[in-house]
Amino acid sequence: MKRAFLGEFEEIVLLTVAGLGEQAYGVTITQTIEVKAGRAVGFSSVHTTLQRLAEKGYLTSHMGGATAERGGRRKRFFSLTALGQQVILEVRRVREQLWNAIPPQTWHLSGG
Amino acid sequence: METPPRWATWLLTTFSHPDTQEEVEGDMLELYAHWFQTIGRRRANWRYGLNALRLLRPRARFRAHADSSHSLLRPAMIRNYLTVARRQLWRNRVFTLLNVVGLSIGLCTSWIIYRIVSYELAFDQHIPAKEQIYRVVTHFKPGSFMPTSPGLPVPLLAAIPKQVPGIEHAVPIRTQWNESVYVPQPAGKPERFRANDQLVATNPDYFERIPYQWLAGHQRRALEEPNQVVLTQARAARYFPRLSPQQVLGRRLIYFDTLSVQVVGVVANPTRPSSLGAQEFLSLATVSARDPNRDQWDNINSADQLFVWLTPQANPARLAEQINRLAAVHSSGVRLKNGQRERWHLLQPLADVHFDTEYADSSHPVDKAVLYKLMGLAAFILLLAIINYINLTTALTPGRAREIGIRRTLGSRSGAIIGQFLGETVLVTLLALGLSFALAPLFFTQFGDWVPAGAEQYLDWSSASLFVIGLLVSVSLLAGLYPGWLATRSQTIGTLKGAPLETAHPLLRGLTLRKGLIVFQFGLAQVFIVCAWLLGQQLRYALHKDMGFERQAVVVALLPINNQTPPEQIGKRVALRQAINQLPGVALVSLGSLPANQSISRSELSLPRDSGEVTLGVQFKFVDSNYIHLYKLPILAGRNLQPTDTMRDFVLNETAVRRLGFKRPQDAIGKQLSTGTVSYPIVGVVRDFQTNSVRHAIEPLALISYQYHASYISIRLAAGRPDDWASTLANIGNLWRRFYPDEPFNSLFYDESVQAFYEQERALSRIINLATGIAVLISCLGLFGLAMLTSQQRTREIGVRKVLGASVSSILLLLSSEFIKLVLLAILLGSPIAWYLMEQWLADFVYKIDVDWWVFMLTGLLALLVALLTVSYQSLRAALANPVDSLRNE
Repeated sequence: MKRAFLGEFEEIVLLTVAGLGEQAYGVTITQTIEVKAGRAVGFSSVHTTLQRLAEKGYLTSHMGGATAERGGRRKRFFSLTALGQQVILEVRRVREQLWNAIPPQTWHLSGG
Repeated sequence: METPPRWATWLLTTFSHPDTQEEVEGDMLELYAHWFQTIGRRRANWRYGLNALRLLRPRARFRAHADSSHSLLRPAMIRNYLTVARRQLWRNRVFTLLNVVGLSIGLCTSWIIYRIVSYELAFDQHIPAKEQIYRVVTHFKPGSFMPTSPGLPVPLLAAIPKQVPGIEHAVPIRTQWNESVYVPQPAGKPERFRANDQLVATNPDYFERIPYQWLAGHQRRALEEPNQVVLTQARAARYFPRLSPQQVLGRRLIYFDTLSVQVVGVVANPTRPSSLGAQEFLSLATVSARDPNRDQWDNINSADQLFVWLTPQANPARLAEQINRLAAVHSSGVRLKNGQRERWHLLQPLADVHFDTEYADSSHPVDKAVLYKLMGLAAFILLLAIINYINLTTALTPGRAREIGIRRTLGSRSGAIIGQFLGETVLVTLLALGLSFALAPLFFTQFGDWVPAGAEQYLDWSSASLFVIGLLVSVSLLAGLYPGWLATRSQTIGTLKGAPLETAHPLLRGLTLRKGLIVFQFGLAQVFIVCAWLLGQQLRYALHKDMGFERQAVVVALLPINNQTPPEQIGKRVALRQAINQLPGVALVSLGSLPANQSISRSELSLPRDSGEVTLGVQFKFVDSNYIHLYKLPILAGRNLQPTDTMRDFVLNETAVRRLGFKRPQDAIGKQLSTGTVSYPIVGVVRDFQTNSVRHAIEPLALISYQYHASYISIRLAAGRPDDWASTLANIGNLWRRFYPDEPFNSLFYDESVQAFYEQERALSRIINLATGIAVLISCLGLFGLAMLTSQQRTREIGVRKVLGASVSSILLLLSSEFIKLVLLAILLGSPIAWYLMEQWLADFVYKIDVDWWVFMLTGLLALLVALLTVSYQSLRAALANPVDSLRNE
C-alpha cells in the first residue's frame, strides 16, 4: 500500500474532525484547534486544508439543514472516510513504533 | 447583531468558489460573532478581513476549476494550435493568399487614411494655451467678389495689440513672396535658390509662444532687429550644405534680390504640423520698412494675418467689436451705415483655423466633413475585406468538419475551437498587415499629390502603434469570431460518420446571408464602375472640348517677373516677341495671359446709358494685338486691338456685350467704357471662348492691350511640320537665355496646360479608378469563395446529373445562372445609386456630358463578365469532374 503522506496541520485537522464527530464544521474545527492546540489558526487555512483533505479522499462532507443563525446559511459537516480513518491509524501506528523505539534512559538524560 | 466589514463580505461573495460559497460565508459570520464577543470589534474586524483576503488565494478559488477542465493554454495545446493553423493555412494556400490580399487592401486603406487624418487633426495641437488663441479675419458684405479673407490691412496688424484691451500677446504672420534667395559665396557670383515658399515675417513674440527647438542662436534675442532671419534646419542645410547650425549663425542671405539679411537662429525642423508654421522667419521690421501697403487701411491681403492671445476673461465677440471700431476710425467701409457694414472683422478660434475652408489661403484648410468621409471610406473598405474573409473562411469550414469533430470528441470546448479560428485569423491578419506596410509607400509615391503635403513625414509613433494594435485586434475578432462560432455549431456525430457536409452546417444550407453579401459587394462594385466610367468620360470631354480658341501647335511659357520698371519690362518682352517671331518654324508670337487660366483678374466696368449707368463685373485679359490672331478668336464685329503697349481700347466677348444690354455685337462698337478713372472705347467683339475650366460658365471678358501684366508668352509653331518642332523649341530656348540668362525656359504645349487645369479631376479620377479596382477585386474574391462552396456542396448532385446524361454545358449554365441572377440584382440596385452620385458631381460643371442609359448597360455587362470569369473556374471544374469520383463516397 502506498504510504499516505500527511502534513502536520493536516493531521491536526483530520484528528479534530474525528474528535468532533457529528459536530465537525468550519467554525467548531477552527475553535477546537485554537483551544486544544493553544494556537491561533486562521479560518482560511482550516478551510483550504479541509478542501485539500476532501480532494485526497480522507474526508467527506454533507450540507446540514437550514439554520436560523448565520443568516440562514447552511453548514457543511465533515466526517472521516474509511480511507481517512485508515490514514490516521497508520500515522498513529508509525508514531507509536517510533515512540517505542526510544530507549528509556533518554528521558533521564534529558530530564536530569 | 454585529455586522462584519462590508468590503470583506463583498470579497467573499464575489470571489469565493460557488461550490463552497454558502458554508464559507456562514462559518465566517459565526466566527465573527464569536470574535466580536471575545476580543472586541476592532480585532474581530481585523481577523475577519484578513481571513476574507486569504480566502482569495488562487488555490481557494481556482483549484477545483483547474482540475476538472482541460486547460486551453497549456504549452502543448498552444503548440498544437500553431501546428494546425500552419498546416491549415498551407493546405488552402490559394485561399490564404486571397485572404491575405483581401485583408491587406482593407488594412492598407485604413493605414493610409489614418496617416492622413491623424496628420490633419494634429494641426496646432502642440501649441500651448491654444484655447486662448484667435485669428483676426475679415468679412465683406454679401455679394462681394471675395466673401471673406483671413488677412487684415497692414496698419491694423500693429494697431490692434496697441489699442484693443484684453489681448495678452499678438503675433502677426505675414507670408512673403520671394522669387529667389541668394547665398553670397566667398569667390564669384552668389548662389541662387528658387522656389522659396514658407517664408514669413513675424515678431519676436512668435518664438515665445510657438514651441521650437533651438539648435543655434537664442530665442529671446531673435527677430528683434531689422534684417534678421531664423531658418529651420532643413533650410539652413539647403543654403549652407557643409555648415553646422552653429556655423550658419551670423551668415548672410539676400532676399528680395537686394536685401542682405543675417541668420540669427536655426531651429529644428518642426515635427508637428501647424497653421502658424513656416520654414524661414524674417523679422517683421525687415519687411515693414519696404512695404508699400504700410499705410493702406483698406487693402486686405490674405498673406497678412494676425493671431492674438486673449486674456482668460476676454470675450471674443466684444473684442471683435472693439477691433471694428478701431478699424472704422481709418476706413469708411467698416463704419456702420444703416446698421450695415461693407467690411468687418471677426475672431476665429485657432481650433477652426485649419478646418474652416471659408478662409482659403495658401495653408490649405481642410473640411472636417471630408476627414469623416475618409474615415467612413476606410471603415467601409475594411468591412468589405472582413466580410470577404468571413465568406471565404466559412466556405472552408465544412472541409474541416472532421478535425473539429475529433477535437470535440476529445473534449475540446467551444472556447478552444473558437480560439483556434481566432488564432488563424490573427496569423492571416499579421501577414496582411505586413503586406499592407509594404504597399503603403507605393501608394504614397503613386498618389503623392492626393495626399496632403507633410502627411507622409508626420508620424506620431505612440498613437500610430496603438492604432495598429487596435486594428489588428478588432479585425481579428470581427473576422475570426463568426467562422469559429459557426464551426462549434457543427453536429459532431454526423460529421464523423461521414454524413453529407451540408447537414453539418444547418446555417449554411440557406446561404442567404452570403448571397446578401455578394449582392452588396457587387452593387458597390457597380457603383464604382459607373462612377469611374462617367468621371473618365467627363474628364475626356473637358480635355478635348472645343474651347472656342485654337490651341493646336501652341507653346506657352511663363514670363519672369523681375524688379524692373514697367517700361523696361515691356521693352524686353516686346523685343523677345520680335526675336522669336523671326525664327524659322514660328508662325506667330503673342504676349498675354492664357485664354483659359485659373488665375483671373477681375474689375468693374461701367457704361453710361439712357436709363442710367450699367455696371458690370468683368474678367480682364492683358494681351497684345497678335493675341486674337494667334488663338484664332473669331471677331464678330469691329476690329482687333491697336498694336500699343498701353491700354487704349477694349475688345469684349459676346457675353459682356449681352450683359451690357446690347442686342447685336455691332451696337457696342464705339461706346465708351469707364474703369472708374479713365474711359476707352469698345472697338471689337469676339466670339465667346472658354476662360476657365468647364466647371464655370463663360464670364463677361475684356481684352486689353497692356503687356506689363501679360503673364505668358504664347508661340504658334508653323503647322504641318511637327518633326521640326523640337529644333524650333531648342532655338527659342537659346534665344530666351539671351534675354533672361537666369530664368529657365519651361515651355509646354497648350494641351498640357489644359491637363494641368483639371489636376483635381484627374486626381479624383485616379483615386476612383483605384477604388474601383479594389471594389471589383474584393467582390471577385467573395464570389470566388461562394462559387467554390456551392460547387463543393453540389458535387454529388452534379455527379448524379452527369450519370443521368447531363452535358457539361448544361451543368455550367446551371451553376452560373445562380450567380448571374445575384450579379444582375446587384447591378439593378447599384445603378440608381451611381446615377444619383454622378448627377451630384456633374452638377458642379456648367459644361458636362449627358448621362446615357447605355453607360449602365455597358458597365453592368462588364461587371457580369468579370463575375462570370470568376465563377467559371469553379463551375468548369465541377462540371468536368468525373462522376465516379464524386459518387464513390456513397
